[in-house]
Amino acid sequence: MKQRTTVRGMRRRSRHIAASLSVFGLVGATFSASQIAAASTRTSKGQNVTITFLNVGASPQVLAYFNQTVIPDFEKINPNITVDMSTVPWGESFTKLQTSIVAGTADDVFVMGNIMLPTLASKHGLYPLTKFVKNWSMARDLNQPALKAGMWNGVQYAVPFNLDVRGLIYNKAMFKKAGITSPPSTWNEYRVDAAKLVQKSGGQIKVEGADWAIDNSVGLAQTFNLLLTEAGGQLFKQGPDGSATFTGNSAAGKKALNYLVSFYKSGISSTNFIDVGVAPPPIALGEAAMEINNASALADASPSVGSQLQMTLPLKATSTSKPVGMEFVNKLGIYAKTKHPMAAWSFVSYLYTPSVLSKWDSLLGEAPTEMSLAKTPAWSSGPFHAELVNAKYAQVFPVELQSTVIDEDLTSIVDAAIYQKESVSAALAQMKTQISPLLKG
Amino acid sequence: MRRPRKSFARSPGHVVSAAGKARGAPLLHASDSTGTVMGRRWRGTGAGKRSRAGSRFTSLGFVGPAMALLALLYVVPTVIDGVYSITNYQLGGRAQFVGDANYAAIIHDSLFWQSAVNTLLFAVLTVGLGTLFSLGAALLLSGTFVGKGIYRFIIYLPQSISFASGAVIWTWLYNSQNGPIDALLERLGINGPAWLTDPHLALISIVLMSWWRDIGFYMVVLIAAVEGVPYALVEAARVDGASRLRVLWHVTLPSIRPAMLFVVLTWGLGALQMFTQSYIMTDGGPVNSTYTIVLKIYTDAFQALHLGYAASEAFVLLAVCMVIGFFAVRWFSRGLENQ
Repeated sequence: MKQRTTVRGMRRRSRHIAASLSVFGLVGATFSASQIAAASTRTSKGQNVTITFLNVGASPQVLAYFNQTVIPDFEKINPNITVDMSTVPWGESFTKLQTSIVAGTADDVFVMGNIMLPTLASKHGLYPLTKFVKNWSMARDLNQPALKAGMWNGVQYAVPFNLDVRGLIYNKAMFKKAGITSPPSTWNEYRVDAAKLVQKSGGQIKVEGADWAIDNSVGLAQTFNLLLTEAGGQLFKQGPDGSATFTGNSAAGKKALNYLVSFYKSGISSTNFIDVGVAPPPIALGEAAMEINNASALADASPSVGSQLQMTLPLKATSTSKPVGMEFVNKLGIYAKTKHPMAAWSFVSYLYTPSVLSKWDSLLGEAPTEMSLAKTPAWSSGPFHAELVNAKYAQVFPVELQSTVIDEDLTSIVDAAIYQKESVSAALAQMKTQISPLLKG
Repeated sequence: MRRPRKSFARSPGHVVSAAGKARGAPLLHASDSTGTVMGRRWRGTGAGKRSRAGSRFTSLGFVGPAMALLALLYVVPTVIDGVYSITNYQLGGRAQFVGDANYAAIIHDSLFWQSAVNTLLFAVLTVGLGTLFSLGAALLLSGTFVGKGIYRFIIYLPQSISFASGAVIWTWLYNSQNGPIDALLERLGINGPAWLTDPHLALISIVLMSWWRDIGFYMVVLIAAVEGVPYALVEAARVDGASRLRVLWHVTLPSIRPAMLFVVLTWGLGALQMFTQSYIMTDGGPVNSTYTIVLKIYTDAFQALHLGYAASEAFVLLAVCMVIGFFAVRWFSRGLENQ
């Protein structure tokens, strides 16, 4: 009797264990199907979900477009998802993103600049999107180098939504007035034309012959990088072990910095012209005859100035070299600790609806990353077409883990050089001293 | 001999209130400094002791919440800052003890020293000349005359605008291409300077903006002090034939010394922590000429992410502020004791 009871008890116990294991297994499997499925289930059950979206650097027109069209349309298709949008200027975005990630209060979806990804990914602030992107039909149509720029250590952390492609923008009316018939294509032509175009009054420059996008952010670092690339150099050199070495102080670096400084030394450009970020850049205000910039300058200009602006190919260092441009890949990322990754991804992928992305990018004046859009009327001709053309000549801006700090330091050093507080050689030596340790750390 | 215990009746001439009497404490009419009351050493009764303990608890009850709040908002962050300053803590990372390495690195950080010089220069110019202007405005606008209130209102008005908004407004005003100041100068046939883009002028331009923002507030403080100077003193000096300047120098200024201490100390410590103007108007440029210590701390902490290093910089600033505060209080207090 006792034995029977024991056997029965054992059987009962093993049934309990099996049942428990299967329940745990089921729960585990359900859980390991991940937070994505959980979020999906919640939304499909009709539970309302609110996701926040930080639309960095959005102009009033972009905000209006999102508030009046994009978000209401998305919410109509996804009645259980509400999108709460906010914005912050580019200059403050990195600090905002970084501190909110550390504090655990980051927005579910956010726009990221070119150099932010490595730092945010290394701080475990970004949700891995590899699985999403693998099953995303749109991924094949995206600009592939730009899509690759959304990866860090082999993981896709962000998807590119536009390319900030730099090219030459010039004012046709000023060219006509100065008797210049065609835009410059080489460094030398650019300087000669700029000297003819500069307008002075009482010894002061009123209209710059050429503007170099000095701003209160890292504009000068970007300018130096572009010139360095055009001169055949590069900021970092990757070693076989993946480590980077600073090479910005090479012969190409010296040529690039000398060229840039010569504009300020000879009074063709002025340090008084600053792109303050809250106002259009000097070229869009009619305060410069030429500028190396993206098409946002065309979008931001008043109608009278804008009608005179034309974007063309980036410069080449010599007549025998090829035009070389630079592109900064702006991306969308999802917060690593978001409670609603599926809803966040739904919103991100919705933004790649061709009509939405085309309108958004044209309002920003930056090239779309969807290759098929190049054939649409909005991008196959018109004022922004040149940006897509320039994308063919552009190299992606180099990014390292400490890029945000490197760019700040680089800006400060180039700033000292153009103000002639430091000689070009001293500035290049300082770059090496200051930036090399950052690449190691 | 046993030392007499302290009691509330020991202070000369102390008189216990009627309420104290009602609680059982003896009514004292006079006591000397040894605590002897009417020829007998008074040690306090049981009820007196209870009352004394009660009053201590009452005092603690009043002071306690404020003390706790101050500790929470000032002492705890200072201690945390001190701990961070001896680590290599990076925002979002882990901290490791590095001893005095951060402080040693500060010695070789040229930008830190440039920021320190800029900050000191800003503080001296802003507070030194600013106090004189505030005092001048206070002297001009005290007394009675028609329209006094309107003048005071106009000078005080910028105080109602936040530094951030003021900085944005002045960035536009200073714009050398399309700003109204240079446009006005151009109409007068003067080539306006590059207010914020000339490394020699940018810090001065920020000082001017800071005066515009702050002088009104300190003027009001000094007006209150000037109008509080006993008229009898001024009148007596005038009767004795003192000129206006001598009255100002020998009567008014010594009388408003406590108010001056307040102005110099609060304005000075605020100026040493200047951030908003530099951050918004110039971002520390051109060529780092407007980089201040707090901007450096902010950049190191939230852009370079070196929170440990930034904490050590903040600790150095705290030490400087404490030393300056200590000497300022001591200097002004000495004057008060002499009075």
